[in-house]
Amino acid sequence: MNKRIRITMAVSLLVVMAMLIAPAAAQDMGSGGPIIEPNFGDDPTTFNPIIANDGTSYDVINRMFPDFIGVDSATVQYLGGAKGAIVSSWDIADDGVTYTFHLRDDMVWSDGVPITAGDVAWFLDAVLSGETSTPRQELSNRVESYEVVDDHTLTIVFNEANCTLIDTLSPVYPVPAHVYEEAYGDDYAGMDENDYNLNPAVTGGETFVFSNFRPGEQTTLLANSDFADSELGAVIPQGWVFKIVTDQVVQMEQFFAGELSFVDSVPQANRDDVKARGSAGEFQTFETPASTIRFLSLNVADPANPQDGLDEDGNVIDQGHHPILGDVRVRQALNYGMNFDEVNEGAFFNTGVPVASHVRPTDWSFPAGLEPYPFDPDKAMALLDEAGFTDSDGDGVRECNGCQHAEAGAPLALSVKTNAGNTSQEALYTILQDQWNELGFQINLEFVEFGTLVSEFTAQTYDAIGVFWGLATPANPNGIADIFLPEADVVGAGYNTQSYNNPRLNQLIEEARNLPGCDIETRKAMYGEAYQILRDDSPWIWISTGNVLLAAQTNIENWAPRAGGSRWNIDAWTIEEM
Amino acid sequence: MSKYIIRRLLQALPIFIGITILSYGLMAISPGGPVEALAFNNRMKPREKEELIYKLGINDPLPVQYLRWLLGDDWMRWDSDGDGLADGAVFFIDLYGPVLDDRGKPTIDETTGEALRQPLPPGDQRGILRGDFGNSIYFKRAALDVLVERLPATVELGMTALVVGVVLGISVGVLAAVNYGGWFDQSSRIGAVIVNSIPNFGLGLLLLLFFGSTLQILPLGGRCRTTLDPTCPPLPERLEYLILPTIVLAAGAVAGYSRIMRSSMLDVVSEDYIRTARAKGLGDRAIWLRHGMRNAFIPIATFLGPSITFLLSGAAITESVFSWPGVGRQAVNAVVQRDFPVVMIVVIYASIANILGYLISDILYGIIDPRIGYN
Repeated sequence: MNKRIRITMAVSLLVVMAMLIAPAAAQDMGSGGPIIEPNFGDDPTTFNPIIANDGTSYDVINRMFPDFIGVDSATVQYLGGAKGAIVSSWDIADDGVTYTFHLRDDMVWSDGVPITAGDVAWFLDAVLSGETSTPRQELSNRVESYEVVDDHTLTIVFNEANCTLIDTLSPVYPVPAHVYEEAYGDDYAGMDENDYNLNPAVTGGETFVFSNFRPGEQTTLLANSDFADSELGAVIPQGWVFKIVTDQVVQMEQFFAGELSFVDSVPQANRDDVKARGSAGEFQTFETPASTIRFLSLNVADPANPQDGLDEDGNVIDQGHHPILGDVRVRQALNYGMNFDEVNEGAFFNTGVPVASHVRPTDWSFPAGLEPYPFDPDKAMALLDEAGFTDSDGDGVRECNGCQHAEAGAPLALSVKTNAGNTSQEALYTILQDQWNELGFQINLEFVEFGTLVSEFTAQTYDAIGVFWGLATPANPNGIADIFLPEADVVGAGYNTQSYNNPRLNQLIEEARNLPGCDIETRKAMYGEAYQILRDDSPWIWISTGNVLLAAQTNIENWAPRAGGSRWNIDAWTIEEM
Repeated sequence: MSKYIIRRLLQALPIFIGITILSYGLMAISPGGPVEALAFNNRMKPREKEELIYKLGINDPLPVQYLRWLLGDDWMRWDSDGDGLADGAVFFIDLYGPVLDDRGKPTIDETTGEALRQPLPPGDQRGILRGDFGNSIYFKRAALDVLVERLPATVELGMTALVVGVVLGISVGVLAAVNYGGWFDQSSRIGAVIVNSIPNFGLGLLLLLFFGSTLQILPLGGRCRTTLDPTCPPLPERLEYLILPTIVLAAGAVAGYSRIMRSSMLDVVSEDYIRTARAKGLGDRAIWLRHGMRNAFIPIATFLGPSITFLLSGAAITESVFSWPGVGRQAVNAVVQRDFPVVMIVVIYASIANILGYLISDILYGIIDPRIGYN
């Protein structure tokens, strides 16, 4: 073999080796370019998980603080040892109230200090002190005591056994106690005003660590070199920028121009376009059930004299009846009179999914056979006739002629309000107004500023108010079901604003929560019966959930959304130059 | 001059106080409040919501809330023995608050039948007259900080738009007057009507879609390129981000100033002294620029002061469309969030800017027109 051939072979070998090594080198930490995610909201208010209370802050906190108990991204259930969570497993003692949590020993803060049970205890100390402005006071009502057994074992004793105690712990985060001690000391009351909240020196345990915050513009995190759960052995994206884009049209244009890496909820107006372009290979897309639900709350009690559900001794207060909605047949008629297909086309661009309850079909407690009301205007009118609302003067509006609660001759008139400025809500209720007027209702529709709407909602002075609510992930069946209990019927403060009270429902919800042994099938049957009662009694008209469309640029490798969202493997996203 | 300025500032004090009373009153009586905005969350229990109401003091009578905001509450309820609980209070302030039960209702003592009460913490606010603007209810930090961190962006955009608006507006107005009845005069008039007819958000979106999305020659909003850096680069390196919002903000000013300048110039050129200048053989250039323009500036000065106020107070719509991190956008957010302290600090800032703006106008009169004195 002559020298030229040897050199050629050596060079070729080097080239081949370089080609083999190159992809591996591209997987080094921070080699994947920054991820730029739009923030359609306001600035985060704090990066301190103890006092955070807004979704934007949590969006950032969840990227740079580990969870206490994690959620499996595929099943969307709590799981010991879940990615990015400190709890590897837990035991429940025979008393049902003592939980022993075993913590991982391979997580460290950004300054190299191990994350331990003491860090969880610091969080609990602050929250349970009652001195902070934390929105997690629910923990105070549930946790009796806790003890750091060793660096990786923590025992929490609850004040009563029930089946939702793990849900109670979902807002718990480990915080870097050694740094918080210095920054906040024991001045829990002064925590809100501490500059450290927006400039945390030590974060970690998750994919990224804090870098900087530019008010009104963006929050920036950098790849965490010590992230223990990275899919590819290191965090590939160089960083994560949470960029404020205040207009949805502009947000989508920025995405189309490649300025945003991904969009977690494509606006309805852009869905068809994005889907089509996704099919043509311009974007990656993924559709998943939404975590919000639209409903119309119907006030069943006298709106002229709003009262609490219970007196100070826990006795049920007679709150009278709403003159029209106090009759369940009228509420059912509204359900039967809703043509969802028409609503879906006119208000939701055919992206809505009819629902019969506040549980998603994917939630474990969803009972088979729970169906939304069918569109049946004849049945609706028959129910109104039966309820004593007939159109005796032929003007198209029914009047009370032998009805249960309204004065004789009173028209079947209802005030329906929803939040102004939300185009899909406005379209929805405009269509429903027409549909219900066809039945003989006189629907007076008003679009009201959101703060004002909430005031009327909690004051219980309304007839019907349409809003939408987010659903917890993982689903906690008691989360929204508790709203229908009389304990939540507190004028001005509680959310049983419809003043609904059904003793059988109350019993089912409490029993399902406190079932000894927490057998899942038994609980599912209880919740199933509860949801059926609610569907039949209709204190709310459950209208729609929907699917959200997620979209990402094609240059993001490993973007693989699951039921639990798209960010579960954000550490592995590799963004190449386009 | 200084006496005049001091007198004007003193005269402005009652106006300022009046503005604060009106603004605070309007805000306080508007339906919905910060608790509704903060606590619309089904996980929040009634007691927590009621505690928040007590903590924010929004259940106090409106005059007490206003006094607290103006003069603070450290003198209303105080702690003499240093145990962290109030032990003295002025006559119109409660020293004790109710013990709330889970429903957020006062707990009743079964033996006495009276509501249980607990000592409240002492007041810790000093009020705006002592430099304490309170904490943002939403951001949970000093409202002053929230304003101050947004000011640079607003000043940057506002000053640019003002300079562009005034310079272009005056130039167009002068040219239109010089070419009275000509094509430039006609087209500038039509242009002014069109620009004034398009709302800012519409114009902003149109420009963004055309220059940012279709032609892709200008950025789609923001103040600088999105990077991992902790700050935006210096202004000269990111001028392209200023172009579109400046056009939107300056468009109205150009249209307005050009019309005022045009009519003012046309008024001036029919004056005797201009005819005298012509008779003396002065050229058109000298007549228009040296003699005409200076006198025509007087009406411009009337509008310049309020324009400064408008632009420095933040242009809420333009800042929102362009994701510009300024005061105006924050003010809108604060109103939606019912973040009263932030709303009020923006009102104070805008009021002061307004008062100063009119003062500048008055001073400019004297500079432009020597006949005007300040005695």
